[in-house]
Amino acid sequence: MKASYRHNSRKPKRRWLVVALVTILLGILFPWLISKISAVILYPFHATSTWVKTSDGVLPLYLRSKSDLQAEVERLRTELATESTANTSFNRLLQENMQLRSMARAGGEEERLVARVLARPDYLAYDLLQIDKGTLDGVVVGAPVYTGVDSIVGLVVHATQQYAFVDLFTSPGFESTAYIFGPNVFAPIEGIGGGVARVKLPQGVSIAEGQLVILPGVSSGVYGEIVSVQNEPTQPEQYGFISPPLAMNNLLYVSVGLKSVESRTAEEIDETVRAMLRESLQLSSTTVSTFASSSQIFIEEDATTTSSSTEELIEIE
Amino acid sequence: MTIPWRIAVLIFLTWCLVAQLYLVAVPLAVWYLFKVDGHELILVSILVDGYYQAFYGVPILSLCTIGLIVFFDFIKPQLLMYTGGNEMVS
Repeated sequence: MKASYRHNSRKPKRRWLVVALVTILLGILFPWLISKISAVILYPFHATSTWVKTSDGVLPLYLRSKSDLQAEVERLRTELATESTANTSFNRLLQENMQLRSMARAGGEEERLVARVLARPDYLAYDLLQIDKGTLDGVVVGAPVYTGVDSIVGLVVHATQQYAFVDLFTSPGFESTAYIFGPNVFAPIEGIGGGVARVKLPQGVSIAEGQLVILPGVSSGVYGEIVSVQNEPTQPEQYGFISPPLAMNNLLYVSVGLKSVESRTAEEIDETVRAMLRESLQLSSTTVSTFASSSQIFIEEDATTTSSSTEELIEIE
Repeated sequence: MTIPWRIAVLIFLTWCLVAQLYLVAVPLAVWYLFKVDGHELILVSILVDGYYQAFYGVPILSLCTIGLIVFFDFIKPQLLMYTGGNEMVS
């Protein structure tokens, strides 16, 4: 009995499945027939649905208004989200525009161009930046690179046609002369890497954190401020450590001066000074007759002076 | 679930499908399949497919319903529990 029960209990399941599949197969074979049958059977549902969707009755109007309000809320939400996104884009563009304008005007009379920072010390060797302007845009090796209005961060060390590399002043081996506001002294500055440079001063000069350091070799070249002082009384000198005011990761745009400020050798400077002297001492509006007349006047004056002095000597004797 | 209730649920489900209220129809169909065998849903789905003339292509609603019923036939025995009085509940 048990076996037959199990046998019978499985049979109906197979039967409904077979009936369903056969019906679907018939529907696929005669789609027009099943469509007409369905349309007739489901006509009351179709009519009810149409009534709810189009009637001016109280209930359909209530249902419709509710759904309409929901759709309106959805539409407004979508619109608000779109507006919010557009507003964010607008604000971003506005800020970028203001930043670019301020950087382009920052140099005053000094001509500058604005460049985007492509790679920072995260991706390059530390104390090196890559910018998206090259020699085609007027970038030259030795040009100063600024952040903001007057904070100089480094010099262009390599320029291709499309991009350039900037060596920061914090690079090991960089040496220059800095001026420290506060004690008002000049001091040698050297890069020690890791985004830090230091100035070396003798003991007795009062330096403190927060004092501004500029590079007088570059016009409007504020470098940064002293962030730490190392002073051991037993040592003959003290050190002030300087870091740029802006972290390298915050740099999106920099402005690049179009003139090189590279240091010159003593021979080059000497040659330049001699050339300037030659140019300034060259006589362009003087003729030989001017020389002759001026020489004659000088000789006559000299002779007169000599005779008068002889007469004075005779009188004294 | 009694027969009148089943008929009422089926009528409402059919109306939801005709009115394209699928967000109501699908959870209701799942709940219905969980409570009863629900083989009659195949008839409803074939009618609705015919109403939308889906048999000119693939009657996706009918096939999905068959698949859902088979799935629930398989899964429901796994969800049965027995009370302390040895009564089977689902």
